[in-house]
Amino acid sequence: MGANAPKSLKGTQHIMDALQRIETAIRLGKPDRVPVAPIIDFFSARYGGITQHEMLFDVKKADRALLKTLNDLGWVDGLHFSWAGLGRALLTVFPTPPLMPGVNGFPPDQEFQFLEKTVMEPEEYLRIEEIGVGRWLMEKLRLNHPELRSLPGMARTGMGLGMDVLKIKRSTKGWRAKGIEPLVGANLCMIPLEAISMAFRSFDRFVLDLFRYPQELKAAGQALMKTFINVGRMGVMTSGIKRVFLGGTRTSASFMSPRQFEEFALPEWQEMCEYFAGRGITPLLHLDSDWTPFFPYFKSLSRGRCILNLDGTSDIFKAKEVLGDHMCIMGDVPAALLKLGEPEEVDEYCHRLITEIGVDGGFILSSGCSIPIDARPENVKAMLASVTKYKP
Amino acid sequence: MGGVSIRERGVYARHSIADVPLIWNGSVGREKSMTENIAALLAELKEEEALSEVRSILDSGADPLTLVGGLREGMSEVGRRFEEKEYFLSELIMSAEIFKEAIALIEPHLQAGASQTKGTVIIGTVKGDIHDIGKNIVATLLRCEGYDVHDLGVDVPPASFIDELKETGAFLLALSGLLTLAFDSMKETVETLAEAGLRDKVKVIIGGGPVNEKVVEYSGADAFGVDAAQAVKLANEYLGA
Repeated sequence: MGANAPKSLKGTQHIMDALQRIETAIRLGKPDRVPVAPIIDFFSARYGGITQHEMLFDVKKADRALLKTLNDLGWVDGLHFSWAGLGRALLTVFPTPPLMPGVNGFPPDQEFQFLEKTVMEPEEYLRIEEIGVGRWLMEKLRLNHPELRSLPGMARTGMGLGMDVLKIKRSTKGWRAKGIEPLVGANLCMIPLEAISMAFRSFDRFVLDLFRYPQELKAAGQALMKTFINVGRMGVMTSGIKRVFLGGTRTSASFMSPRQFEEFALPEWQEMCEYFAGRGITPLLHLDSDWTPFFPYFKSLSRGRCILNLDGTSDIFKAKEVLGDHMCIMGDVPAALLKLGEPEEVDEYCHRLITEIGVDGGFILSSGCSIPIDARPENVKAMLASVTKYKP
Repeated sequence: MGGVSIRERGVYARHSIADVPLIWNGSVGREKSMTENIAALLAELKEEEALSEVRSILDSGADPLTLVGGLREGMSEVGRRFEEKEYFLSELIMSAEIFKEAIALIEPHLQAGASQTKGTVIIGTVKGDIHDIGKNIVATLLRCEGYDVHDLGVDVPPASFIDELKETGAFLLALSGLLTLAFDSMKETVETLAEAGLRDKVKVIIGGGPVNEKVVEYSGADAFGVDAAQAVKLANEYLGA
């Protein structure tokens, strides 16, 4: 087994297990060492010799590739969001199916990519509540999912997804037996505004809607909120993992002003985070793009209940300054560094993160979003090794 | 700012040029106030009022090129507010949309060849990558700035950039990508430029989520834009160089 793998407690000082380490960090405590939990699937598939298609559609193959990666390059405490086995789900739940490796002529070892198309007009914002969220969502899905237009088709899709859930649960159990904690598994959720931007209106139209249809947009967000929370709840109930991934990028400072964030997005983030935190479920705020100007707003979330996961664009050191005593901070070894840097540079950056962000606990080392598919293995090794090499 | 609800939208209000608080002093004074007024309406992101004003001014027979000048002043003010961090990307996009709509109203009134472009820019998302949000924003802002932008779309192979460059003589090539595999495509594009003997005839800027100085060095590009506004700034700098 690789470095960082769980060791026997016999004859040693107390060493926390992965779950203890992660939970201590989440609650703003200082674990025995900084835990490490990257998003690794795309990279481990390539390193482990399988295609992206295999990783997304065959959990067993994905797990074998990941095990080889960890044995060769270093162990982890946690698996971040897990893409393994989610291929069918990704193709089903988005109104415009992404480009999926090995599907419809897309090369089998290409990274999957989200396609963004407009599937709703602004007139529909008020229609969502009028006709009911479930009916409206099904209308949108059926536009590009012919299999959902009949009961037999829906049943077949449901059964397939159900099988995938069972396989992922088995995988989760397997990793836990090896001493690795799935941080969020596939418990995926997002605030309605993020979904409206990414999956329904598309980015540029959404931005214009902020100016042209502000009241309608807010009404739509409110109408969708309960359903989106329920999606997160279902994931938690099914997986048994009491943490949920809340993805955010379109409501960041890279795209909207503080005034717009306050008016449109913050109430949604607060409502969703407090719902989960209030029920003992940890929201992992996976925030891509730049959120630095918005850090002070997150002080309104319950202390020691949420994870702030940054991708390398935000200033993580500023996050420590503003939110270090309020939220567990996670991140943020940049993708460019993992692909183009030298191991010494990766080691140096991780050292800085561990000793500055992790100085008094409340920190989980991770990649800035996903470890790139073409990251240099020696750089990934340096990142994973840093948590046992350096103590805060 | 703030929209009018869909159900309440009606006919655009029409402003009168006589409402403008300047002493009427012949055509020169009138055009100056018109320019300032249009610039202010655009900078304040008052979409309906700005477009209404454009229609009104066109109806009055004023020089459409002066209107374009006013709109560009408004965009400059938007750019300044963005630099000062009063405005963010959403305001840039909204201002560009107003600009685009206004230009669409003005263009039929322009004489052929009347409007000149600053220069030609080629932009595209590189081979293997289909992300286009950032690219589209940059293309829009460059057009607002007065550039003739040739947008080659997404998943663009190096040869397509080279062909377009040979045909247009563009002074700037802007490469976009969100995936790390785009770094290699950017590098390949720059190398192909060199092989074609064109590297010293064009500046290359890159952009996209994970792009940074390291990627500039790796790819052989000249610079990277941390955001769309900086891409426009770089274009202006290189044009002036």
